[in-house]
Amino acid sequence: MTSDMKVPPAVRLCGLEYRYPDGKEALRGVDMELRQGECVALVGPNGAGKSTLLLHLNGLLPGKGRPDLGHHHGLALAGRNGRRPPGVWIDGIEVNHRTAAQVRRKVGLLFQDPDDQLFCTTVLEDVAFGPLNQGASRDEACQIARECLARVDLQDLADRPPHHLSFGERKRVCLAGVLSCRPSVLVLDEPTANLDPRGRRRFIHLIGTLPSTKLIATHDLEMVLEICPRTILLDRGRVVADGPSRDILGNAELVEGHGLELPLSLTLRREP
Amino acid sequence: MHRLDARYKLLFTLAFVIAVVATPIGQWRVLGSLGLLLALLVGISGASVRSLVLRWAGFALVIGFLAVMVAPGLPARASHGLVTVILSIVVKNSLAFLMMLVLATVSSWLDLLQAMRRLGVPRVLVATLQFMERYIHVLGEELARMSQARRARSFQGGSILSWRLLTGMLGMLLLRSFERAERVHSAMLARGWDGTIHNLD
Amino acid sequence: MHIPDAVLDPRVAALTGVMGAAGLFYGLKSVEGRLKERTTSLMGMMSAFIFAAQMVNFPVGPGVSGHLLGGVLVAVMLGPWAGAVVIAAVLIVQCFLFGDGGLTALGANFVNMGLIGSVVGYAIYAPIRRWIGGHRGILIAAMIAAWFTVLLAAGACAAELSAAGSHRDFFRILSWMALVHAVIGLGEAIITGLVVRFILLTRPELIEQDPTWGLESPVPGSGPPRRWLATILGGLGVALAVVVFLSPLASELPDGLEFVGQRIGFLADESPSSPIPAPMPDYQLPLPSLEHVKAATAVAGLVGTLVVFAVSWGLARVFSGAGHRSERASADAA
Repeated sequence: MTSDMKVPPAVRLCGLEYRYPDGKEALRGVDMELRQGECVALVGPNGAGKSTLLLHLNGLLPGKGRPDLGHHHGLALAGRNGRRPPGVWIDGIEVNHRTAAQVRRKVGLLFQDPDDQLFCTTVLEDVAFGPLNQGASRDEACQIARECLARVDLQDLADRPPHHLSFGERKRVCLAGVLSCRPSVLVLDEPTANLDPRGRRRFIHLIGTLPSTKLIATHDLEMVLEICPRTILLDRGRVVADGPSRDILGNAELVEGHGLELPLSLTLRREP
Repeated sequence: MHRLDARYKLLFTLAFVIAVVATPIGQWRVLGSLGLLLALLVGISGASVRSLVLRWAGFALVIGFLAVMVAPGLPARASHGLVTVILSIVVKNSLAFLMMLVLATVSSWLDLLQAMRRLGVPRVLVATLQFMERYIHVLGEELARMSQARRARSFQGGSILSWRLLTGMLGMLLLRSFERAERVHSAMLARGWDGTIHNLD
Repeated sequence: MHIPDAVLDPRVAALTGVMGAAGLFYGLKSVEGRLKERTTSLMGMMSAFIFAAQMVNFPVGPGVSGHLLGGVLVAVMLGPWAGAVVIAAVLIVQCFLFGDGGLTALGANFVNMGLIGSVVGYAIYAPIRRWIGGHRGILIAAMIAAWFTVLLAAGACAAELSAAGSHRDFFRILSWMALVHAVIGLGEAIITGLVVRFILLTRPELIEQDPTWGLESPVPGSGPPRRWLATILGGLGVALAVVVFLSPLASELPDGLEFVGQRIGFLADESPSSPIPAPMPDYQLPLPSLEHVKAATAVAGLVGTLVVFAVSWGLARVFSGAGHRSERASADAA
């Protein structure tokens, strides 16, 4: 037990609050802890604040700053009076603008739309983007990139331009691009959205083989049951439930009360 | 020829075009030799002569009109006559234009951008052009989807969309492009971007 | 609009090349300084947008269509130098990939469409916007700026094309350029206006900020000296644009005088300046076709200006009551 106490949680959120510039509240005091190596699903209806929460983990904030130029990436608001200042800690390091660069090395964020993340002219260049920014030499970066592409089984497409790839292939390249940064925490936003069944199966398998701590925001409840032992249910900016996936997703009242449905596999099991 | 370093191709093209443009009016021999050189290059490059001619024809009207307009004012007009001047302009333009098309045939745009960077063009500009190339495809697809959707909903004659609809599409595309630029920027930051442009080659 | 190779006098090509390079260099530095690490993604995306937008065909008549140029639109969204950089990127791609615009004419084309199109365009836009205020100001100023910059670019184009010739060549080419561009300018103004209006109705906060000089400055009128520079530049721009479509008329006077001079016999016979064969010196009227063009240009210019003002006013009516200082929507969001 004592050895556990010395190792900081991979991710820790304490009283995280966030409000959009137009006044709308996105997060209303979120507390959360992820242990090293855990795979946790983040579920909830649209608008619950899932994406906003994910962005906080990387020190990226949506909507702050001058809207004409889009957001300036700043960090969490100071706490209100009387409460502990809310914050985000990654591997024990508090996330603020000084530590942002360090944090970004630790947290790999996979966005929902691969075209937002695949911005280089060839696949190889894109996957090498992370290592190059981390200071790797060209050869090192190239090698890491090829390894990561092999990991997602796309080594043959290294020299292709992104628009020649299918949607599923682009998603896998994005994953490779995130993996090439060697993050210890992997945060994925709707990884299986819009994938065909084969692509989805492949992706789920891939994610399952990754050793890092994983936080997966998703609507794909069947995937959650497959690979995420723990689920956090978020609704209207608050954590509503946090526990074993089967218990939470199997609780019809809870699930339906927050804009979701019982996963089919659990429904079928219930039928007499 | 396709495998030759893009820098040489770019520099050669530049030299060729400048030579053509700088040739004084009436020096038909010089233009003739340049033309032969061009023909040789067209042959080696494997460019389709038909497509070259078609694209040339597309601009022929414009260059003809401009040549006719500009020629009377040129001092060379007095010594060589109006017709020579007009023909000169058209021939020179055609040589330069075709050379540019040959360049586009033997070098991919991305190779050309790399070449530019190596030749000293500011990195920010080249990176912007690379980005632009990547997202032209993305935005083009979005535009195609939007116009299909609009067309499906408009019941006016044929495929003519009113100006209001078209500008609505443009406005929508502009907004989405803006927002996408933000998301891309976030994705870049997430992978350690700090503004320093690195390249693999 | 795009000048091809071999049409410009080599000295003009060289001069505009240097001007263009200097302007682009300055613009890049300015944009990088302001946007920092956001430069590549935003400029790249906007360039892609303008490129894609220029592919959208706006039907004008049977078989004829126009398209957006976008210099003023980008300047309104992102500022003058960002606009110039975006236009430069588009011009480079068009030149290398499509041969649209000559390699040796890149400088001239950038000066016309990038520097005049965006930077001077912004200089025309900003004071008008500030003067009218609110969303109406933004819309009307954008349309007026778009209209006048196209004419101005036409004038610059004519100057570049005729640099080797006499003043009469200039006016002759100017008439043609201005006539053609009056139509283009009208289209540009209307398309720009409609797009700006769309943005103002959906995400106004994207335009409300004054990207270069900060509308948040606490004391109105205390803006940096650049504001005055903009106003002067803008005013000059408008004045010159008007000159573009009116001056060919004025040029009749010298022609008329010369004609009379020739008739009476104290001026030497000069070769006609029009490609159309000169009529016999007995004719009372000078070259009919050119005169028609000049008159048409002036009419097109005047009518166009009136139309742009009227349409912009009409489109802006939807914003009546937006007030002089645009305020960011604070309450009732979502």
